[in-house]
Amino acid sequence: MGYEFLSHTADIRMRINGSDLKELFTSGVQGMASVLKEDICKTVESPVKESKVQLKSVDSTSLLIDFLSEVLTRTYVDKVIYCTIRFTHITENELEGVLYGYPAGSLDEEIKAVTYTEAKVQRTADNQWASYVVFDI
Amino acid sequence: MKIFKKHIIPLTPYFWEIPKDFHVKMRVPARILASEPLLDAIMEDRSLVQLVQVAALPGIQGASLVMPDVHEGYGFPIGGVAATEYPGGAISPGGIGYDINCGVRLMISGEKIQDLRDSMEELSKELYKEIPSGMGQGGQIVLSEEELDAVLLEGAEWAVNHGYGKPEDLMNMESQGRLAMADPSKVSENAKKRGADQLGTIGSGNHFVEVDYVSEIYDEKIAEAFGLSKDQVVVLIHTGSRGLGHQVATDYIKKIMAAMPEFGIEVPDRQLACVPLDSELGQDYFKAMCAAANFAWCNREIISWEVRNAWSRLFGTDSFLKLMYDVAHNIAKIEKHRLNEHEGKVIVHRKGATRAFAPGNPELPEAYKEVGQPVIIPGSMGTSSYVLAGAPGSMEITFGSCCHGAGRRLSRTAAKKKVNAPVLKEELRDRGIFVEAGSFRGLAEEAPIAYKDVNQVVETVHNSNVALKVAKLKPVAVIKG
Repeated sequence: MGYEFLSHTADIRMRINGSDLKELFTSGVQGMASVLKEDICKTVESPVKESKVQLKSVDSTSLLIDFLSEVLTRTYVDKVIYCTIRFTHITENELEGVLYGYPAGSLDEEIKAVTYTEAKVQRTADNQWASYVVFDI
Repeated sequence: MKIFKKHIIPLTPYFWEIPKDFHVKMRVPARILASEPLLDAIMEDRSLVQLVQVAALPGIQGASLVMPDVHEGYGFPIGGVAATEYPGGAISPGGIGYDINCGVRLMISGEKIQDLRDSMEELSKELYKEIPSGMGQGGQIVLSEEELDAVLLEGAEWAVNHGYGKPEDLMNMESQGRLAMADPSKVSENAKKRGADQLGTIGSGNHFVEVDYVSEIYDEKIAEAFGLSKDQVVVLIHTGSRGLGHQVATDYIKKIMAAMPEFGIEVPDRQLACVPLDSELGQDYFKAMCAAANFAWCNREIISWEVRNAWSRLFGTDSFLKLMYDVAHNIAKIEKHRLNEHEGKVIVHRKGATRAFAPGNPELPEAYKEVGQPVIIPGSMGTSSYVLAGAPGSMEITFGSCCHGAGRRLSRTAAKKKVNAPVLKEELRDRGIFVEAGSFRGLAEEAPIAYKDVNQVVETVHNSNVALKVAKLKPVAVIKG
């Protein structure tokens, strides 16, 4: 599982993968956190905020983007960066879990939004789950 | 979808067309305002694919358009204009962007650069102290729920009525800094929470406050009407509706995407999600967008108050900064335009495009009615910016719209790889440009090398009679998030 950043003229294009939807969505959370503040998720400190999340969407792609949008909204409202999530339930169109947040302080980059452009949750040839995510910066 | 030069027909040396029969889903042709070298540069990213996809929007009128500073966006290209049928045509939050009413304003002083040059370093530090910038940075004003609702209704008027602005500023703003259709009840609690402490903040990315001087005048008559003169010191402000606007767009794109099947609408990219403006959801989004736009105008007015505070501390209370004009470049407006010999209302989406109304338009302030609407085109922090005036060509070919900046050419990653930010800061300083930035990372991403040549972009709109060159501005102090 993991994330990598690819070229985009003005914004940030990220490719994420994982062996199942839990890993894929966690890669998304961690990749987004690293844009907001590099290395924040490598901290050894304890989380300062726990936040329950429950979402339904029309399909797995919308679920991924709606989920990352929700995490981003909470980042700004709660003023913490969420690095990890413990899923209690996840299917292709709904999820439930608890997010763990760390003090944000000043951020490296402000993400305006998580966009649906190019996003498509799908299985790859090597039996992984993958998607692109484009952030509006 | 691949687009090659052979698919593009020149209409004039500055205007190109991808005909409607290029793709079965296109409802109108796709048109590009660009010189040939700029067109070649535009073809290097996905801008034209996105332009063609916009041409498939329900109810789109005339043509799907891009300006010469276009670059790929998400769904819609940045630098795009799409007019749809009123009232039943599509309203698409993606055609406005997440930063609703991101825009620019220009304030003009009574001072010459020769008299202030030695104070520019101090001014840059003073402005940086006064104007909260950067990520997650709250402002000097924290609003109660009732106050925030009043801002969403009243726009820049709220700032003026509460002592943060001057009454005469209002007449020099697009729509006088307030859209009457705004309804705060259509804005979510999350959006309001994000906006409550963000008035008077510029944020990050490409937003800035910049002190410039007028280095060249191209049209004496229009410059005089705008109050511009050679060597005059001016202040350029670029920011939008901050987290409040971003959240409004996020909330409604999600809702609209889920509602599209009800209207039988399918789009090639989810980010183009749209519903008819005259549907309940279309109306809700439009009212929320107007509220976010009002927040942005109030934000820029309060930033002007902060700039004026720093200015008078340094240069005395007799010194002044007058608002020349404030214009949006991410917005949807209901406007009258002529199409196929008939004048009628359309919904004009401008995403990274500036309104550029020609002389005589009833929306213009009295002082500018004879010369056209001021159009403010920021360049990159080390090059030039321009003031132009809307001209008749814009009403004929671009639904009264023009470019909004230089346009990026390098990705943020590529810029960071190429630019050593501390060295860049020193180089700019040696050239008399003092930069105060929240982070070196942000500075590298916004380096002049990351942008197209603003001169070429401006020449295109000038030569196509969309907007005429009035003055060139050179930076001397830059505040970035």
